[in-house]
Amino acid sequence: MTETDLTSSPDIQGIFFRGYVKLDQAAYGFFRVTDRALFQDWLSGMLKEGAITSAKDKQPADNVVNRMNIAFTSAGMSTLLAAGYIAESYDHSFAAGMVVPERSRILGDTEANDPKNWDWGAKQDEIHGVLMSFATSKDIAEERLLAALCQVNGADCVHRTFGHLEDDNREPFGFKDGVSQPIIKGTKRAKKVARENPDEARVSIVEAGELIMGYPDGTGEIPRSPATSAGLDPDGILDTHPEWKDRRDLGKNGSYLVFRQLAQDTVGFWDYLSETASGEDGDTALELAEKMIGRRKDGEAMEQDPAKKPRDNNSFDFSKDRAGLQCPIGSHVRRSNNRAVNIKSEKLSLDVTMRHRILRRARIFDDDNGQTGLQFMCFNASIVRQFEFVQSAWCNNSFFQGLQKEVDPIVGTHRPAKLGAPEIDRYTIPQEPYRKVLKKVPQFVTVKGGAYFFLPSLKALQFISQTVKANADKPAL
Amino acid sequence: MHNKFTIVTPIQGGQQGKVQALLKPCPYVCAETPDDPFGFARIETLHFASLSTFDDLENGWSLVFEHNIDGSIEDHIDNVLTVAETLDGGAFLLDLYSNSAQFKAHTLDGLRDYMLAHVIKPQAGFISAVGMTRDQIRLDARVYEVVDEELGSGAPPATSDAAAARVLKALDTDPQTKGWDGVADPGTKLPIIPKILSILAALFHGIAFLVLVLVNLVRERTADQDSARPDPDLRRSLEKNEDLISTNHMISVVYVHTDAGRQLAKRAGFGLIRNLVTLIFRNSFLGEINTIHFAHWSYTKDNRRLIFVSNYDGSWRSYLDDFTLKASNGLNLAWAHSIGFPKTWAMLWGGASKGPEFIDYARRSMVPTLVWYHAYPSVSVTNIARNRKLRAALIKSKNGAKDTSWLEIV
Ligand code: HEM
Repeated sequence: MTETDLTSSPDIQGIFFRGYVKLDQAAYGFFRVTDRALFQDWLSGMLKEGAITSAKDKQPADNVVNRMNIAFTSAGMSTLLAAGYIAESYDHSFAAGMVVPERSRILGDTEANDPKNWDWGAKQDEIHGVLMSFATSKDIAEERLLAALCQVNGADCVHRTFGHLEDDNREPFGFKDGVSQPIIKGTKRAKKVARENPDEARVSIVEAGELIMGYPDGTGEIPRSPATSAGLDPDGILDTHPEWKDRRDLGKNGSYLVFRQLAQDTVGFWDYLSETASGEDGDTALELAEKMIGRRKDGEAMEQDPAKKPRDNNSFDFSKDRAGLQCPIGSHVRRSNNRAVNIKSEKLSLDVTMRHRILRRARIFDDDNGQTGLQFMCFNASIVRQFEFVQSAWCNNSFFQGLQKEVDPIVGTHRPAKLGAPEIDRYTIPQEPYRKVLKKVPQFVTVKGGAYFFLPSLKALQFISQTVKANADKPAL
Repeated sequence: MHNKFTIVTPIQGGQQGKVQALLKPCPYVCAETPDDPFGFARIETLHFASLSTFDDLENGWSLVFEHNIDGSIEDHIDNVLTVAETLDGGAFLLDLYSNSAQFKAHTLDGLRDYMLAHVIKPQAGFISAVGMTRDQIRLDARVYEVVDEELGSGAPPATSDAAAARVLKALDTDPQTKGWDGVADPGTKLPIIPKILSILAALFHGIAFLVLVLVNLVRERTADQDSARPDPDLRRSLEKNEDLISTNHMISVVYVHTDAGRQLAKRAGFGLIRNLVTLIFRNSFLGEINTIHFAHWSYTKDNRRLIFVSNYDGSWRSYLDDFTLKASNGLNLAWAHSIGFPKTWAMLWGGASKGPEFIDYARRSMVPTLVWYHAYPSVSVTNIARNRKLRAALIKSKNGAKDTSWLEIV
């Protein structure tokens, strides 16, 4: 880990470190490159103007009303880099794209979540990238996005969506979101947490390489990183690749970005809970909702040590609640990060779970069809090992930690009985003297779109923006 | 008693495509799938089975038929053939094996001899449900279902005793669980004589292993490691058949070094694994790994290839993650001295602990599973262990025990 604080790196795109909470409105433009050279000229112009924000640009001062970031799909990278796109150097799920059949099955994009029902992203290769525009108002966000995208003669805008943040960072079911996040070791924040709350530090601090490429990860190794041909980089913009010495490192200070449009049936959710809860003895709709999410609505942890003040929201590790009497084993928060109870050994459990952390950056959408939900975004150094693992091995695994016939009550895919496996639509709440099971629980969250992106560093963007020229100058690639 | 074995038969030159095409229509078979040309669901001794083909630089293609069973290998093969005969007079099986080299007598009797001659017993392996027959696993699962249904319907019983009474009554009356308390559980205890023999064998192999590790240290450290990424087409063809249900199958076939020193070291390593598994891992789980039903390692007859087959819960990725984070020493014992394997130290360290390299190695070494059968897809390893405990506790309860703590594990 380098001594300088990465959180103010001029080379890392701003969205990685910042939620841009003051810029609470966002517009996302998904585009397709039609003319490689023109697009690269546009990108180069954007970079010269400083229109793509880096982490060095701190939380906006009052006079800043807009920030922009950009990321590309594998189709986009291969279009822009042509022969410089080396597929094997990327995470293989990124290279394949989110909607090939085997990924759909791994992600649970089947049944109600089948890409054939999506609003965008279902057509493989249609989307080459996303330009993200964050602003103080929806109008500004959109206007800046359109202004930027309209300047590009080399690309078509395929789809647009808007997002926003609620006060106190509530997601549409009403729960506080963004409470538990991995914190990068060596940053100011990490030092503060380590000093003030060692228990939280133990379950939150990760090596930089877990989330961003170019730095050691939890195993002490530099994570795998996209490579490109040295021939396309005559000016030496990029470093030598850590694995292939004859290639250049396109990944350093970049990260993979997972984008999923997740519609939430908020009415159905609360109606179901009100009908199901008896209303007696703490069996209320709210309590039930909290048992499904795995946190209190205001973000407090379910597992509380009575001796501890103030009440805990993130230093728990489930070790005092193995049976799930406080926080059910199958709840969303517990499935998506089971901390110290993945297996018997707490230490080994944490070693395991800390290799599967993701940095979340969700916003809320409300679309013209009256749908609302999360624009789920997360960053990770490996989509396969992190996001996909959380989604498939934990959230959508019907055999998770001894459970049966159920998946994550929030993000799981309900399935009919098939191939000898039973119907999957239950939810188990451990309690004394024996557990309660909710049957035929509806699925409240449906996938409506998505794609895998690579968020390049500023240097990598500069490299990308000159590959046509470099190639023209050096025909003997 | 369980047995696990493979039947590895050479395919006549150029016929592999025909074999693969014959197996293609039924990638996954369970009691409910209509395409079951082998009649797996009718073979009472069968827990898991699979068929795959692999290519060999010297010998060409082979067919691997994996079986994880109750009882003896001979009886099981008889069952396989009897079922084939009642299904279609054995036509499908004979058609399949007519592509095999040296299979001359095209009758079921001839096939029996042919299969028996090509049986390969594993060097080492693991079985989670120690001592349990397929039928006990299914009975325990039905008992759980009835208990689950009873406790989940109607008004909840007022007391634990009332809950127990209701559950016992339901078990006695439900036709699904007829005779539920009559089937004895053989238990998991290793009798004293086999135990002593296993301890001695473990010691013997352990000492031999230490010596052989030293002998091979230079060769171990200078062997080449292959760091290539898996071929995207291969990976896709593997992923295509994964996660059809929450349990999965894998088969890997690797080349091993054939010099006597390393072959002997591997034998000692496997001897050690075999005996340690017998002695220690008798309670459903392989240490911290709680997802393996049946897995085993075996050599092809010419000792050049090492075959690993496994039937495990959860995704392939999480299985491999388990290996690298929780069991890398054991994996190294088995896979070290395989050609191209990530570098190891003393056949114990390094190697499988190097996540990405090891995971790529494992993927590169796999071949697609063409057919896979699972006799109880609705239950995981953890569920089977729980169901076993539950039925045992309920039998006690029926016989008058007052303890109702089993309610907690339902
Ligand atoms: C509409 C869909 C979703 C909703 C409503 C939702 C809601 C929440 C809420 C309320 C929390 C607790 C607050 C916090 O710790 O930040 C949370 C935590 C979390 N969620 Fe989600 N989430 C959704 C989708 C997803 C997806 C798709 C994933 C990844 C596969 C995911 C992964 C996580 C993780 C990793 C945590 C933190 C767990 C921890 O470290 O304790 N969520 N989510």
